[in-house]
Amino acid sequence: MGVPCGLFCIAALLAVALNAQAYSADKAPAAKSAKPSPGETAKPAALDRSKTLAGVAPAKSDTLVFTYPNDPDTINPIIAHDSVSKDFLRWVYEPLAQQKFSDPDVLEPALAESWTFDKQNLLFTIKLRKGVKWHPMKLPNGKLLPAKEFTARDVKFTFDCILNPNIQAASLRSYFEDPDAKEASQKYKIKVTVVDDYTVKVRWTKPYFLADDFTLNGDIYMMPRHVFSVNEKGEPISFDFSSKEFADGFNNHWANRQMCGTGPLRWTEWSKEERVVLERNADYWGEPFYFSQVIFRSIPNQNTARQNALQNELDFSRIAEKNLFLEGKEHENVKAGKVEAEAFDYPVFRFVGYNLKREFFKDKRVRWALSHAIPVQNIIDIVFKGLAKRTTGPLLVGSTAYDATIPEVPYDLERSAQLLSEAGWEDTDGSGIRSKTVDGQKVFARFDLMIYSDAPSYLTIAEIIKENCRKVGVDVQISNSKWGLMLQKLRKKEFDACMLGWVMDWRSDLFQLWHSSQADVPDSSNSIGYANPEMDKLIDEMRVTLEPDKQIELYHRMHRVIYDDQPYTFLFTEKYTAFRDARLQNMKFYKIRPGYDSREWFAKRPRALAN
Amino acid sequence: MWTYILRRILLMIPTLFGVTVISFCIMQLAPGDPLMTQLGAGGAAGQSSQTRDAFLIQKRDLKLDKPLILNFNYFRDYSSPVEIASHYLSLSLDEIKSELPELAKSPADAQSQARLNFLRRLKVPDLDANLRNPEQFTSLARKIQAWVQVYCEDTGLHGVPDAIRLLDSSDTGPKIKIGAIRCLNRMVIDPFVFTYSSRPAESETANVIGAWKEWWHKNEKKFPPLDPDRKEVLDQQFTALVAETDRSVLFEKLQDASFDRDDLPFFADKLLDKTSTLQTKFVASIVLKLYISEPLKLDVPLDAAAEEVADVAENWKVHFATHQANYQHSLPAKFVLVFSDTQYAHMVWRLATFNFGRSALATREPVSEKLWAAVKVSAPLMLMAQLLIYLIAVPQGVICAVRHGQFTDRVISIVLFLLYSVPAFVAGMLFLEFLCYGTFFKLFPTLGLHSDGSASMETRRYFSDYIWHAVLPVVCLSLFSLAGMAMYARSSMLEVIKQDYVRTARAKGVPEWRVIFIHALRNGLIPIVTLFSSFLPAMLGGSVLVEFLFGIPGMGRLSWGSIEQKDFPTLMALIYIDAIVVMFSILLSDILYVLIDPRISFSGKGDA
Repeated sequence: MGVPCGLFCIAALLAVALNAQAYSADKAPAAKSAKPSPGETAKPAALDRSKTLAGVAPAKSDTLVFTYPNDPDTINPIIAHDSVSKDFLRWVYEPLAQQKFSDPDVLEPALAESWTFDKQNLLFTIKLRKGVKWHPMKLPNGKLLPAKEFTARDVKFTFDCILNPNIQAASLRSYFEDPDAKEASQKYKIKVTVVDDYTVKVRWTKPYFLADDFTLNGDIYMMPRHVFSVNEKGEPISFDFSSKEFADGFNNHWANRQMCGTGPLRWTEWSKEERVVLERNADYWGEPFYFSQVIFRSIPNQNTARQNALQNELDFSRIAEKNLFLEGKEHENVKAGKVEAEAFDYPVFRFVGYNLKREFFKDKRVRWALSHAIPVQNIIDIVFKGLAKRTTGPLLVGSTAYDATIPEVPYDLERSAQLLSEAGWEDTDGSGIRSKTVDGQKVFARFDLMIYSDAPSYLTIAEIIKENCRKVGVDVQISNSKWGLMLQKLRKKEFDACMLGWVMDWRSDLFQLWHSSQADVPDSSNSIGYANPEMDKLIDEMRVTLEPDKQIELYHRMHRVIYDDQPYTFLFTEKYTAFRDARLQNMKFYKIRPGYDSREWFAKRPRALAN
Repeated sequence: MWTYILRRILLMIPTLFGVTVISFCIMQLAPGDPLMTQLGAGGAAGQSSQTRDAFLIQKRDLKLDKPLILNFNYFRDYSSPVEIASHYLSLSLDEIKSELPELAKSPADAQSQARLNFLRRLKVPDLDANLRNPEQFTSLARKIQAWVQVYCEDTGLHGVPDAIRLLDSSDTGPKIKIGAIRCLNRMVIDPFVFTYSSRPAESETANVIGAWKEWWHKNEKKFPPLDPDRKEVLDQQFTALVAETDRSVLFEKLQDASFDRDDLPFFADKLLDKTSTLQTKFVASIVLKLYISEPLKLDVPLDAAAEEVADVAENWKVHFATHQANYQHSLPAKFVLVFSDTQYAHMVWRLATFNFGRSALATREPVSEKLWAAVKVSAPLMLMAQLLIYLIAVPQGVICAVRHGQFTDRVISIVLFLLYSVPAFVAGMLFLEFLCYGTFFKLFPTLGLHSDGSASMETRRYFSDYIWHAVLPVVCLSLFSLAGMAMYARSSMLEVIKQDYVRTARAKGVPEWRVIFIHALRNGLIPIVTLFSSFLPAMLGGSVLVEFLFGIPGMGRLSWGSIEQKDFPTLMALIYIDAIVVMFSILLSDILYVLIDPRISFSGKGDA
C-alpha cells in the first residue's frame, strides 16, 4: 500500500495499541449489572439460517473479489497484527463476542452465548455456544483432522497461547500484564479456568477498564486447540503449553499459513502474492454469508488495482490517493453507474508530533503557535480534496470518548506570531528566522520535519506547513525518510518533528502513547516524550475505572489536557476512498474498522469470473 | 583442463567469503533490523520491562544480540558493572531519586564515581543535563531503571557468573542480592526446563530432574503422606498412562486426567526414582507441571524478606550448577568463541551448510521453501524470455549482417535501438495501459500467472491459461536483451563474413545460403553460444519491476521484499546462491569457449 503505509504501519502499532479496543463502551456487561446487556439476555433470538444478515437468501454461487497490496507474514490471529491479515481472518475466526457495527458500544454474543460479570471479584462467567464446529482441517500430509466442537478448552488454550512469553503475541499480551507487578510471577492479571465444556471463568486480579474487551472481544479470536497443539504430523507439539518448545512450534506452526476458525467463511487457499480464497461455511451456526466464495487478490501495482476496479473486475478496492480517486470518478463506468465511488469515515488520524525534548518545542506556546500556523482546512481542501475531517485529539471522532465541544485550532498567523514572541522567540537579526538565547547560546527557531517518503501526500502537506511556518519566522526543513529509518529515529527519539498517522479504536488505552512513564523507556511508542502529571493521573485512574459514565468523563478530560498541551498538531481523519462494483447492495458504512460489514452485502447479479 | 577447473572451484571459496562479508556489512549499514521492523509495526518493543521479554527472546533466537564480527565478551570482566547494575535494580524509583543528588555533585568517593561512570557508559540520554536539574530526577531515575535493565539484557549469559558470585558471597548485602536476582531474570530467559520435549530424550533428564529435585526438596514437607489405597489407584492409572504408546492419545489422556494436588508426591517419587524408565519420568514431569505452574520461584519483589531471597538465590544456584557448560569456558574455547559466536559466524555457518534456517519474518518459514517457491515461478518465465531472445535475435542479426548497409539492415537496426532504449518497466506500463486495462484493448490479463480456479483446470487449459498470462511479462523481460543480442549477433556475423574463407567459399561457387548458414553462421555463433551461460543466473534473477507490474510472485519480488522487511536470512541465502550460480556459469562459459573454439585452450601461458 503505497500511500499511507507509514500511516498504517505505525497505525498497525496502534492497531494493537489502540485498536484492539473495539469494544463496548458503556453497555458492556462488565459495567451494567442492573440492566441486562446483550450478552446477558436470557435467550438469544432464534437464528434463521436460511437468510443472511441482510435478510436475503444466500447466493448459490457468487464470488466477492477484494484486493490487497502485500502479503502479510502470517495469518495466525494471535500473532498477526497488520490490517491485511485482519481482513482475511475477520470472518473466518470469531471472538467470544463482537462489537456491534451500528452501535460499537454494544457487544453482541458470538461464540459466547451469554456472560455475567461479578464486579466485586472481577470475575467473568462465560457460557459458550453449544454445537459450534471448527472448520475441517487437513494436516500438511493430507490427513484430515477429526472435526471437533468448540469448547471451553479452546478458550483456555487461546489464553494459554497469548500468555506464553515465547509466543510472538507481545502486543496483545501487554494488555494482560500488570505494569506494577512486583515480581515475575504476578505479571499477568488474568486467570482462566475451565468449569465444564461450555463454561469458562475468567478472573482479573486487578481492575482494568478494558477488561470486558480483552476477555470477550479485543481481537482475541478463539484458536482451535486440536489444530494448533499438533505438529505437521498430527502429534502434540509439546505436552506443556507454557513451554518454549510449544511456543516455537506455535510460532512456526504449519497452520499459520492456513486458517481454521468457526466463522461464516472458511479458508481454502493462500497462494502467496497471488490470492487468498475463502468459501462459505455451510455448517455455520449463525446467518450464512451471502457469497459462496470470497477472493482477495494480491495486486501490488496500484494502477492495476484501480483499473481493475473501474473495469468491474473487483468488487471492492481501496484507492488511497485522493487525486486518483477523483480522477477515477470521471471514468465512463462510474458515470454509467457500473462502478460506484465510495468515501466514508475511517478511524485514523494524522498529526504533526513534536519531540518535546527539543529546546524549541518545550514551551507550550510555541506548539500552539505552530498549530495556529498550520492551515489544516486548506490542506484538507487542497491535498485531500475535502475528503477528510478535522480532529482535535487522539480519540475517534464520533465516538463517545471524543469530546466534540473542543474547538478546532483556527489558522491564525497573527496569533501564532504573537505566541512565539511571548515565548521569547524574536527575529533579532532581520534574517526572517526567529531566535532566542538559551543558556547563553543563540538558538534559531528551526526544525526538521520528518515525513514518510513513499507517500506523495505527506510531502505536499509538509510543503504547505513549511511555507506557513516561514511566514511566522520559523524555518522548517523537510526530511524525507524511508520507513525503516523513520522507525529507528522515532524509537531513539532522534527527530525534531514528525508527521504520522495512528489508527484508532472505539476506545483506547492512552497509556502507551501519553503516559510519562513511557517517555523515558527506550523504544517506547511515546516517542515525542510527552509527560504531564495531570495526564498520568487521569490515565492511571482510567485504568481502574469500570463505570462507563466515569470512563467517558475521564476520556473527555484527557482529551482536554492533550488539547491544551498541543504536543501534536492534530490534523484530520481522512476518509477511506474506494471503488466498488455497483452490483453490490446494502452497502452501509460504520465508524469502526474496517468501516463496513461484508456479511450484510448481497448482489444484484452474480459475478462472471474472468481473468 | 581438470586442474584448471579444480583451481577455479577452489578460488570460489575465498570469493564467496568476500561476497558474504561485503553483503553482510552492507546489510548492517542499513537502518533497522527485522525485529525492529516487525515489532515497531506491532508496538511491542516499546513497552515497560515486561513485554520486552518477547523482543528479547526473538532477538536471541535470531542471534541479533551477538556482536557482528568479533566477540570479545568472553574475555570481559563483568564483576563491577554487574554489581552496580544489581545495586540499581534493587532500588525503587524513589530510592534511585534520593541517590541522584549525590551523583550530581561530582562525587569524590570511589563508589559513586564508579556508578556515574557506569551510567555514562550505558549512554543514558541527557544524563548530565538531567543531573543538573533536580526537576528531572524522576524522569532520570526512570531512565536509569530502564537502561540498566537493557544493560542486563544485552549482557546476557556473560553476566551470570558474576551475579551468581554476588549471591554466593557472604559479603553481599541483602539488598544487592535482590538486585542480583533481578539482574539474573533479565539475563537468562527460561532458566529451568520442567518437562521433557514431546519426544523425550535421556539427555534432557539432568535438567528436568535437577529442577524438580529442588522443588521436591523444598516442598516435600508441605504434602501429607499418601494413603496406601490411593497410591494403588494412582499406580494403576499411572501405569496405564505410561503404557500408552500413541502420543496423541497420551496427550489427550493427560489433559483429561484428574488427579488431586495431594497426589503429587506420588509423581515426584516416580520422577525422581533413579530406576524409572524415560517414559515414566516423561509422564510424571508432565503431570507435575500441569498442577504446579511455577515450581521454582525465580524473581523477588524489592521488599522481599531474607528467607525468600535465600530461597530464590538457591534456585538460581541450581540453575548455574546444572548449566555450567554454558557459563564456564576454557581459555582456548574462549579464543574460538571470539570468532565463532558472532552474528557473522552464525550466518556463514548456515550458508556453508546450506541449511538456511528460517526467515526472520513472523511466519518463520524455512528460507529454502521460500526460495524454491519463487524459483518455480521465475525460472520458466526467464527461460521463455531467453528462448525468445535467441530465436528472434540471432536471425535478426544474421539478416542485418548479410544485408549490411542496405535498407533492411537500417530499419532493423533502428527498431532494435528503439527497443534497446525502452526500459522493461516502461514497456510493461505501456502494455498494461494499451492491452490490458480495457481503456483501449483488453486482450491480456492484468495480473498474475494463473486465473482464479486454475488449479481445477484440465492440463491443456491450464497451460494455455498460463501462456496467456505469461505473454506480456515474457515480452517485457526479453525486449532489452533481445536488442542487445541481435546487435551482438550482427557484429559477430559481420566479422565472419569478411573472412577469407567465406570469400573462398563464394569464389568456389558455393550457393549463397550455404555460405551463410554453413560456413559463416557456425563460426559467427561462437561468441553467442558462450553467452548461453548467462542463462542460469538470469533464470534465478527475475525482475523486480516487471514482477511488480504484473503481480508475479517471483525472485525479483522476493529479493525486494526481503530487503524491505529486513529478512536477513532470506536475503543472505539469495545473495549466496546467486553468487554461486554466477561463478559456476562463468566457469561454464570458459569451458564452453574451449570446447567450441579449437583456437582457445586451457594450456599454455594464459591459462587463467
